[in-house]
Amino acid sequence: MSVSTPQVSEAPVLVLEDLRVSFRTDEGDAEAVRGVSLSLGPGESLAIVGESGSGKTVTALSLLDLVPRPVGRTTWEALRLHGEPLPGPGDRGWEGLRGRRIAMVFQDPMTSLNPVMTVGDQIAEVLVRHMDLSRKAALEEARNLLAQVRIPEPARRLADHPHEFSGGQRQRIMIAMALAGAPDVLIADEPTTALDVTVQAQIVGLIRDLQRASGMSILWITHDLGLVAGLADRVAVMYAGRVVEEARATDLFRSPAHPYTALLLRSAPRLDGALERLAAIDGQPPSLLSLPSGCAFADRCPLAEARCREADPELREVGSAHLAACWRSDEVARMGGGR
Amino acid sequence: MSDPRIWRQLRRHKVAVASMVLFGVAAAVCFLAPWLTPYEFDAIDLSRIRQPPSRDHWLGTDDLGRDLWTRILFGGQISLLIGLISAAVGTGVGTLVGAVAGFFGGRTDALLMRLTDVAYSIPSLPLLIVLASFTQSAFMMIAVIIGLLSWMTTARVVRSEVLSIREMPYVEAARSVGARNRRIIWRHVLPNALGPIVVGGTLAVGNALIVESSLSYLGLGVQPPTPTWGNMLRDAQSTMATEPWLTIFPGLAILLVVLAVNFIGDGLQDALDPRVRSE
Amino acid sequence: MMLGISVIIFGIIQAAPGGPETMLLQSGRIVDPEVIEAYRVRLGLDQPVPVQYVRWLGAAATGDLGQSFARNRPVKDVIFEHLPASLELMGAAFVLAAIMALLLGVVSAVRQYSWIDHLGTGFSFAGIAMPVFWFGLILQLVFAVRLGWLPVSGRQTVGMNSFTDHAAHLVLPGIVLSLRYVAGWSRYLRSSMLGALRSDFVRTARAKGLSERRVVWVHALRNAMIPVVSVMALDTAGLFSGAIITETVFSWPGIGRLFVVAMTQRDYPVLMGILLLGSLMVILFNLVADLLYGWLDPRIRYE
Repeated sequence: MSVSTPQVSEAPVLVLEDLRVSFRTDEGDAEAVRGVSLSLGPGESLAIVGESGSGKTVTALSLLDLVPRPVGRTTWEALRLHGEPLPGPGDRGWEGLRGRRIAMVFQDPMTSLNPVMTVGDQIAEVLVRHMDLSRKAALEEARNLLAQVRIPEPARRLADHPHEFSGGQRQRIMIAMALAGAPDVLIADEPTTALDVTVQAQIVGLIRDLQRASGMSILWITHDLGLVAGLADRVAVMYAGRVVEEARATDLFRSPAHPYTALLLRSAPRLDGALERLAAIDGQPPSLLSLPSGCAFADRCPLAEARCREADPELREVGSAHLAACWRSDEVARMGGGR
Repeated sequence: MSDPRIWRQLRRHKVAVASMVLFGVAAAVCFLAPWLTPYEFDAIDLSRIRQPPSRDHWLGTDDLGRDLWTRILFGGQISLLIGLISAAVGTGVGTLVGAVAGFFGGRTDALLMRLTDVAYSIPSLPLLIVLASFTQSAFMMIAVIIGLLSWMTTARVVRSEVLSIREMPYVEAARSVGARNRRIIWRHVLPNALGPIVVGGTLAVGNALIVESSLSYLGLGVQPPTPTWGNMLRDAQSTMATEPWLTIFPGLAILLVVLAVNFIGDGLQDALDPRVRSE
Repeated sequence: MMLGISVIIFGIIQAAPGGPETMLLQSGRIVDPEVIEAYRVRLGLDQPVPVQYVRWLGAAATGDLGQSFARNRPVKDVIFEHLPASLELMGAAFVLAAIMALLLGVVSAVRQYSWIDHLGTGFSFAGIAMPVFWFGLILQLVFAVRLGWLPVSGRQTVGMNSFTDHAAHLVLPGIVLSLRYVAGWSRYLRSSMLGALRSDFVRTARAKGLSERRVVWVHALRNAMIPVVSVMALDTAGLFSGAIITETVFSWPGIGRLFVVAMTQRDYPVLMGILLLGSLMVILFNLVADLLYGWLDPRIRYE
């Protein structure tokens, strides 16, 4: 892995402490995120990995205060960008920050662009809003951005509507829109899931090139551990609304300290091409409406014992810059071979 | 409709439940009118003309001294019957046309849908006015005519419903064991298209009540002395300034009943269509 | 299409009992059968029905809708005389309905389940459940008779020709005619807006840091309007039916009122002319709806 490891002493760009999000439903409150803390260094790539429903996307949306209200309720202990606290949940001050300091690329480029506006206008309005440009200058700049994300004939295509582009091109346009405000942090929420495999690699490559050029920090959201290996400096694994393990990518892949991570690694296709049989994790994640009092993973965990069902383990240091929330993290390495 | 889940769903729609009760009570009161009021609907009492609402005459009397409450009840019988009959006629014709067009497809479908388009394009109220003027204002005729002019929406809905149902496996299965067309339509296709038909039929009752009252207001509906809510309003217009109760109450009767019917339709729609329910 | 409509209209009118002769008989002036026969011949009513139809249709195609029985003038002139008043009323009602529905629909969707949303829901249910003429009568009673703020009926006060007088006469009929459309369109726009507000591209617009006003009124509304606009275009043709009732309530001298008067006079050429005009409007606005749809939704043009 050639990715440079950030210095611990370097001041983090983004700090989030104790994020909690719950959604009101007919059957009661669903706790989607239960106390997530993250920090992101300058130029760093952090990946949040988890199944659907683990709270990874909700965490990402919270960083832009985009969790829908009033169904969703968001609280956090602290949220700072370059040391300055960001506005509280629901504050109007967020409007000026979104797309400017923190930008986001969404999962499905087919539905994330406005179908009745030209892509030029959709990129230009970010520039008009945040960069104090006239519409004309903004369109000019939008053309440059399209060129940067490698859309051929950018000048001509400004006047086209989203449906005239392929899926991969649309995601490039989304990226151009996100870059328009020259953000400090880019959140990429499964930006390649909806795309063909060949296009996926191009999009990931594009984002990484752009990161190198601009020095922005990136928060990747994905369910695909295989993807993470190549692009993240650090990885946080989420399960049932909590971070259960966080470590440098190399450490996490070499010595996972949470049984869930270990099982995920075992079920992910091996990068070296070894044809190991994929082990699926038995059982279902718990309902967010009625979480157990102990560890949320206990019911599916091969290492579960009595105390796991009684008390939920806190995230604790298990190695250098390596955190895990498991009573028996020492034994994960010797864990039996799945099924 | 026999599906218990639908009833459970419907019961959750509280406004619809209240509306069903209201509609039931209103219908019962209207049809039990002879036992509920001491007056005859056409009993003229010139000693008590134009009285405002009082204890003897709950809603007052008109310019011939007839009791307004009594007339609203008897008028309600006619108005409700017209509403129900015309909704039945319109829904029946619409279902038939839609089912035949959707099921047989091809030229039959093209022809029937063209006909539907044509019928759709003629403004219905003016046409209704012309037709109603032929009928000597017999209430059955008026009900049938209103029904005959409001089948197009049902036909379109049923057709599209049938088109999608036709391709379902159980219809294929019925066909493969040699079931006859009529039997397939009757036993397999229509029961599954029942949702939109019932909803459309319910809303048609309300619409027919409004149309009847409009025709009566123009003097082309059921003629006095037989009271309907519409022709009572027509009679009331000339004395609106001095006896406003004569205008207010029959209109309120229409408003409440149509409101109830529409809420029932709304509740049924929510209960029968899982897609709408999600909110 | 138009041909089918013309056959139906003609057929129904043909089936109508009585005709000009009934009218003449009822007037009590003419009883001589020979005079009536001469009259019939003059109007072409002695010919077989198909011949009458072809003649009527041929003439109608060139804009000649025949002679009015009652007024003894070309139907076309009679209709054109009444058209401006109707267009004025329909135009006012349309503008009012569009503005009200837009505000109510968008605000109800943005503030779903708020008091204004519930008020809008109640209003639209009531608006649809209320006979238009009754609403008109109640407004007359309150604002014209009791409060005396606005004129009861008519298009202008006799002898006055000021703009304010004219506008004051337009207020109540305009509101009455627009009621149904405000009720229908606002609900439709509300549900369309609710869908748009939940869509991914609105989330993108928010993530771009756009102001909430721009997110709602530009990004969401432009998409939500697409289905609503075509419904509005289709409904506009129906304004004509509504105008019959509204014009009668307010003695507004337009096409609708003309239709009711012609009905009582059994003036069939006028009735046929108006029906044909109404159908033409429906077809025209169907076309307008299609064109608007293609214009608003860029995806349509390329498919």
